[in-house]
Order: sequence, then C-alpha cells, then structure tokens
Amino acid sequence: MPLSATDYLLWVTGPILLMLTCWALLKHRFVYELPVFFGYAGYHILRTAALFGVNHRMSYNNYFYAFWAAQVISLGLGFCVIYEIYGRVFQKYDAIQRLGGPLFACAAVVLLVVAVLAAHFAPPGADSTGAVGSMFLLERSARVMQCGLLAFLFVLSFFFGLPWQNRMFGIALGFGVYASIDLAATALYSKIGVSATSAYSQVQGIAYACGVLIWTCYLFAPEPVPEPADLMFQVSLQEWNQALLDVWKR
Amino acid sequence: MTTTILLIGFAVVVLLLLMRTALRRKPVPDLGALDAYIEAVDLRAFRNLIDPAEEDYLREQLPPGKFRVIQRKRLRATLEYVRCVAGNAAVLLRVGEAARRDPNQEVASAARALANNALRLRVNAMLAMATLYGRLVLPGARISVGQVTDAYENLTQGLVRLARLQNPVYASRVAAVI
Repeated sequence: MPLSATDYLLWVTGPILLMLTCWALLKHRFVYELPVFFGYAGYHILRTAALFGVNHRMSYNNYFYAFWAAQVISLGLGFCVIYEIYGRVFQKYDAIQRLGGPLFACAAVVLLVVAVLAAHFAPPGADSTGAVGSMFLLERSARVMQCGLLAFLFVLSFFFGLPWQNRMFGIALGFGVYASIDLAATALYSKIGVSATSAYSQVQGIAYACGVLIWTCYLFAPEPVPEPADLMFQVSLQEWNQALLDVWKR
Repeated sequence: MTTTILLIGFAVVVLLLLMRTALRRKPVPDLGALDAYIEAVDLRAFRNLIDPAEEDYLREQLPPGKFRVIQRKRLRATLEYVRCVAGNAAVLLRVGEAARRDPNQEVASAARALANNALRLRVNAMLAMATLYGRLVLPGARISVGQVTDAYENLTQGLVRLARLQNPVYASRVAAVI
C-alpha cells in the first residue's frame, strides 16, 4: 500500500514518543504502579514495527487482517488501562477504595447498552460492508465506551474532590484525547465512506500522536512537591507529645 | 445521520470536559496561606440552622404558607454553608494528599487520616446538598444533615494535628482560619 510522507512521519512519531514514555515510566519507577499501561505502551511499539513490516513485505490482504487483529487487542488493552486507572485513583482512600471496580463495571454496562444502541441506529456507511463494516462498528462502539468511562471518571473525581496525581492525570488525559478524537473521526468516516480513507487515517494518526505526546510530557514533568512538606521542623519528642496532647484535648 | 451527529457531539463534550479539567486543575494549598483557599464556617450558626427544635418551633408558631417561605430561606442559607464545607473538604483533601508523601511516617499517617476524613466529609456534604435541594422543593419534609457538622468538626481537628506535625508555627493560624 503506497504511503505519503505524512503517513511515514505519523507512523514513526508514535513509537518514538512511546519509547520515551516507557523510559519515563521506568525512570520514575511508575511502571510498578501502572504495569498494564506499560504493557500497553510496549505492545504498541511492537505492533507498529510488525505492521510496518507486513505493509512493506506482504500483500494488502495480509496487512488488513494483521491490522484489525492488532486493533482488537489494542482496544481490549485500552479497557484494561482504564480499569487500572480507576483502581489507582480510588485505592488510596479507605472510604472509597472498593468503589473503583464496581463503578467501572456499572459504567461499562451502561455504556455497552449505549454503544449497542448506537450501533443499531447508525450502522456503518454504505461503503463499508462485511468484515470492514463490522470492524468499524466494533471500533466505534469501543471508543464510545472508553470515552464514557473516562468522562465518568473525571466527573466522579470532581464529585469526590479527588486530587489527581500529575502523571496519572496525564495518562487519563492522553487516553481521553485520543479516544474522543478517534470516536469523532470514526463516526464521520462511517458516514462519508472510502473517499475519506486517507484523511481518516491521518486524523487517527495525529490523534494518536497527540495522546502519546501528552503521556510523554506529563511523565517527564516533575511531580510537584508540596510546600508544606518542606516546612517540616526538627522538633523534640516532648514538643511532639505536647502537640498531640493538645489535639486530643480539643 | 442523527446518531452520527450525537456520536460526534459526545466526543466533543468528552474532549471539552478533559480540556477544562486539565486547564482548571487546582494547586496544593500551602498551610501558611490556607486562608486564601478556605472559607470560614460558623459551625454554631450552621448547627442552629439545622436544629430540628428550631424548625419545630417555627412550624408551630407560623402559618403553613409563611413557614414554607421562611424554611426555604433557611434551607438556602444551609445550602451555602454545606457548599462551603464541601469546598473546604476538597481543599483539605488536597492538603492531606500532598502531605501523605512526606518521608516522616507520623506526618504521612496524619495526612492519610486527614485525606480520608476530608473525603468522607465531601461525600456527606454532596449528599446533604442533594437532600437540601430536595427539601427546597418540599420544605415541610424532615431531613437531617447533622452528620456534616460532626464530620466537619472531626476534620478540622485532623487538619490542626497535621499542621502541628508539619509546622507548629502554622497550627494556631490554621485553627483560626477554619
């Protein structure tokens, strides 16, 4: 399949930024906190390299099946990453630490119904039939769910007043930006059809690069150090005890 | 076509929500400048507003129509207090969250307790707000928001403890602000 210079640029940008993302995850030991996200990033580096090879050495049919197989795995891993973020956001607080899983499950069920209804009422465009049409429906439905899950997470954190850890926020933001732009592009492409294939694939590539760039920037930015911690005084044990006694006396 | 527009609209709303959250993220308040973030709450006046005896007295003394008008005004005032408490809880949650990374275990433990209490208070306050909005529609109904005042008192004690542990100079100031 012939590719333009823009296609090549977008193809190369993603993996390079993802490698930086992985490096930042390892450098800040954030990989222990988000192992699934690390796996997701690693998978996408390998996926891009493999698809690049298939595109240049094999037939279009082979590339087609390889691409969609890889895309289904990517969508599945995307849900795992969002689930991991839910868990990490809620688990720090005793009062709500068990809410992450059930809230994710409830939101996922509701969004699945929405996605199925959307698929029923807006089938893929007339140009996309058979396997291609099914794959577009699958991708669009998955993006509806991913966008909804991330929006719900942001609304919940506003409701609870939860402060986001800078890097965790960046990962959710990058994922959300990519998923929402991809959803809009897929919905529009389903309507326009194959005449917009080139533009669609470039918009997808740009959205993906934006998402990965957000991850890279947030992961490399230093986590802000709270000032109060710097103001720690070296106080004697007696003073500590007195301070604690005063608190309990109130 | 309608579904396509709805899907694109949904994607745009999600994108705007993410952007808004990213641009309006609030900083971690410094204990020394807490008064810039915290709104003082007069717990005594707040308790008086939600006192069932006070409400019973008004109900007995006033004609039903007049009682509903007065009760709505009291509910709006209560809502303002609860809104302040919810906002303060969110600020204290950020203070606690930031301090829980402190290398000193005692400070980190006090911060964790503060963050958890702040979160419970925030949830109680948000539920109380929903209840109060319901009561604005039916001002005659009896609904308690007393949990909020008790939780708020516990929370302020937790913050003073954390302030004493982190910087005793700020402790009295923090207690005065809140």
